[in-house]
Amino acid sequence: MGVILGVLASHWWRQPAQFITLISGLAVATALWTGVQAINQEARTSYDQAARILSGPAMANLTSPAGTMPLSVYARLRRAGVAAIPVIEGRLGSGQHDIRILAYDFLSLPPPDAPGQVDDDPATLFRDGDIVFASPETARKIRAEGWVARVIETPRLLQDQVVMDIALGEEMLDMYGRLSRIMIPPDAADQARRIATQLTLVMPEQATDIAALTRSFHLNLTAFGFLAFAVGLFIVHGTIGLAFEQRRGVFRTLRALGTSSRRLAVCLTAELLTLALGAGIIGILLGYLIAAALLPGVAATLGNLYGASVGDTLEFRWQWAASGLGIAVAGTLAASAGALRRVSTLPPLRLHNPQAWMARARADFRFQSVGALLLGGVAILSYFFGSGLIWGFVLLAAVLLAAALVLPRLLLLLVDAMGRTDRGPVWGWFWADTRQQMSGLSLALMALLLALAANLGVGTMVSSFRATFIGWLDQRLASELYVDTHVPGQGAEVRAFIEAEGLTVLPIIDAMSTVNTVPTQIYGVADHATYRDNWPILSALPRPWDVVHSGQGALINEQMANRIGLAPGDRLDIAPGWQGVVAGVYSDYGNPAGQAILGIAAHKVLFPDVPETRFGVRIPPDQVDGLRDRLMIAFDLDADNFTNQAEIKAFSIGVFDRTFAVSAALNVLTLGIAALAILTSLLTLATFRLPQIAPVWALGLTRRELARFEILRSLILTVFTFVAAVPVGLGMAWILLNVVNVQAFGWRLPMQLFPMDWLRLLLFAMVAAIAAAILPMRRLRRTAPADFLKVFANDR
Amino acid sequence: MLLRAIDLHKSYRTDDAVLNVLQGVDLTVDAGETVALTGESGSGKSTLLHILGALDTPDSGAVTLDGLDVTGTNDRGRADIRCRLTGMVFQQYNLVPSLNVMDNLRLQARLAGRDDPGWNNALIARLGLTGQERKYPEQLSGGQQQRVAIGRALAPRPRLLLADEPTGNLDAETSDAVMSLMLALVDEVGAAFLMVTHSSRMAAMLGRRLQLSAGRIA
Ligand SMILES: Nc1ncnc2c1ncn2[C@@H]1O[C@H](COP(=O)(O)OP(=O)(O)O)[C@@H](O)[C@H]1O
Ligand SMILES: [Mg+2]
Repeated sequence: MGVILGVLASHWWRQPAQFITLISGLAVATALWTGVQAINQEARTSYDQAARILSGPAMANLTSPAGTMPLSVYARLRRAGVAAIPVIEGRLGSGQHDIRILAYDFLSLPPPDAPGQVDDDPATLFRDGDIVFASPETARKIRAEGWVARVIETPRLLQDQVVMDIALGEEMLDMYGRLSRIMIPPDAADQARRIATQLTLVMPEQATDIAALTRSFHLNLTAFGFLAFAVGLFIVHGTIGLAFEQRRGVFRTLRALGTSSRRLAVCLTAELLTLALGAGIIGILLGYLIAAALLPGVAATLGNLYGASVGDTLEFRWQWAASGLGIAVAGTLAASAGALRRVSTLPPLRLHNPQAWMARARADFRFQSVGALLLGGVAILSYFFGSGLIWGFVLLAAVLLAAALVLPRLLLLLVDAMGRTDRGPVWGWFWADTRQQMSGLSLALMALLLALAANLGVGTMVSSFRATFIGWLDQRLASELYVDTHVPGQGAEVRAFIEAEGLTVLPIIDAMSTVNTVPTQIYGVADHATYRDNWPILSALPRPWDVVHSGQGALINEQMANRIGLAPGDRLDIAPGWQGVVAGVYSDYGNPAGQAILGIAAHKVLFPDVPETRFGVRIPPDQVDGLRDRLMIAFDLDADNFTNQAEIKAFSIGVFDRTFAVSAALNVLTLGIAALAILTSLLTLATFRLPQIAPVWALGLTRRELARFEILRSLILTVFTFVAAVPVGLGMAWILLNVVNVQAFGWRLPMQLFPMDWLRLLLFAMVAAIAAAILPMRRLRRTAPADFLKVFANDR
Repeated sequence: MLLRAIDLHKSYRTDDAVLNVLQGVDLTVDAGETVALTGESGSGKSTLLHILGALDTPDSGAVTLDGLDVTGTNDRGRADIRCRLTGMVFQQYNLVPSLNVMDNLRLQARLAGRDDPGWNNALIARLGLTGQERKYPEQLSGGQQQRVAIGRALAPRPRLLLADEPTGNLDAETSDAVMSLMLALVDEVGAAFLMVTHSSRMAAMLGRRLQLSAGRIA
């Protein structure tokens, strides 16, 4: 065994470039997969933690898209009689480890139960100086570092979690005057929503359900990780295949010298496992770095889209590390199964036949075409008969893989067609030589197609979404200034003041209700051209606003229509005492909840207690500041009573861009892997190329000319692959917009095309192709004539 | 008697024609004997040698080597015979390109568990490879490569050395040198030697000559 393993290893020792490409291909593929897993797991752990941390009645939470909020919001809530509890959260690095601090007002909510250690009298909590609560293990660490007077062991707390009173937390985290969130009793939700309009309210059922809400987001990430891994496997498959091919002579010699086929197969498997484990470990470390870099973006996205709070520092966890190692090993074995089988059934005397490789490659192409047809079938079936998010992804995967599998066939057709154009012997040789190289390059080109198509698809989806989103914001936020008095009594006076200036005031009132078990926010709006002209309605009965204001119907958002299965004209029960029809469906991007709009009269009948405190004001943009100043002085209002349309738009677009930053990062990484795949293939092919190039060199082509042909070939194949990737990418975008998004978020988006993005991608691909060809080309240019001659000397 | 073949038959099926290469070959080789196997190109010499060396199996017939049933055993058994009882020298050398001269020379002995550093060094010296131990095959001439291959076959001290036109790729002068080296070393190891050649001059240097024609030993 040892001897054979040594012989096998000597190959890698003598071919370091091949070794590095194999290891880096596998490592990068594992890294992306692991990174995504790590992010998902970190998020999941955060959700669990959030659900476990506090016992007692489930609380609703007010969070801010900005991360923190001023103490004044809390004061306003208390003044209005809401039993709110202020919370500060954060991390503290204390040398050896980070701890998570959760600080809240111990007088409003007792500290976590610590049996027998704290009296019922809360005063004891403050008598002996600072006191914190932590799990026994964390408590030991804290005591060892001695930074706090008293630590009370609380088994229920998580590791590295420290709970303390808000006064101490404020000091330790240096968050004077700011809060991370505010907990409120769920029955005060409506009141809180009216008082804290700038904040996001997450209901307790929503919070415990956050894992379900975010599932589609995580599935999205997983799909991306898997795509990247698949692209990486193309590299592994290519390098291992070539390494086996190059060592056929060695295998034959080993067999002739007395190695049984079983033993050879065992040794090769051991070799592969070692490589996979080594590369897997590197991949896990890289994955950790990638995840740590991406996590803040993901945390922001999850916070913005779902109000889920996820820590932004990453912990190393064995679950995703093991999953990374597992997929590295499984992927390597899968990628090399064919080569391994061929070796173990290889008779010791089967002569090395260069023609055989081509023949097998041709058989591969045929096999690939059959595979493509089967996948096409899967795609059609999943489109027509599948439902749910998983099927959306199955459809995507089938389409992408089918396209990748037909690509080599298409490229061969192109190369053959070019070969038939008669442009002299050199070009004849060039096309014939390209054809011969196709079998070695096809895997890398398939990987490139996948990466380009994914890039185009996701890019088109995001850009379409962005364009639609911006247009929608313009429609939705038609009023130039929004005023919120927070104090019920003040509403009427403020309204009168503004109307006295001759401006249009549009009151906005809202209440929560449950429609068909879906928690739904019900708005009441005035009858005004602002809505009639601008509201982003997707489908509706004729004259929907007339239906709404006659009290016979309501408009609902797209998410709600999809979730309950409602269309214009269907019956709708919004609250006891109101029955009507769906007058229309409007788009409401970024909102996970249901929403309905009634006429203001109908709303007042249904929810008589809701005061008018919020108004939209139609005013020329250059007069916004003036009006705001006058209102501030007249009614003693401050800045957070106003929302400027321009500010909210800029903020929303910022949120949007951050949300998709993760997709963009993964996209770029996937493209990088594909470029690496091309480099790998070209490098490995270059070691085979001497026998093919030597005769042409002997016939009078210079090495410089030969090198130029190498680059040209790389460019031609890349450009053609790009051309093939455009329709695939657009197909992918269509599926994302019309199938996956509808399932995941509940909204359908119109597709828009962005040819300038394609051009940029094409340039990127061409640069990558040239970069990948440069290394092998330089090697070719440096090949000594003596090495060319050797080819003839050794020729049998 | 070291090697005995009885009534060996072997045919190849190509597309639709059947080529009967061996049609009842009988032969024996005694311990320490040197035998030349000659015959026209395509007469089946390599086929026969591969069957005798446990690299291939006949359609029918039997081979025994040192009292072991070569044809009746399985893949593992044949691998074991190749490893411990025979040494094989090919026309194309078949060295492992990623191993240096010394590691190539030791390869079969190590597989057989009979690595003997003293003997390896002696072989290196006898084969005129002193100073080349750390070179790789691509850095050697054809004659040098073939000498490494001979060393590799003899390092485990096999009972039988098989060679398939070992000098076919070499010029006349180198051929003679390689040939006399092989004979001297075979003698020293005490192995029998069966060599395929189509050169009468080479054949004449061995103890006995067998002629393969029409699928039989004439
Ligand atoms: N694997 C094979 N498949 C088909 N025909 C073969 C095979 N190996 C050898 N032959 C044919 O069998 C005949 C004998 O081959 P071989 O034993 O190599 O002859 P020699 O070594 O005497 O030149 C030749 O005609 C050859 O073409
Ligand atoms: Mg022959």
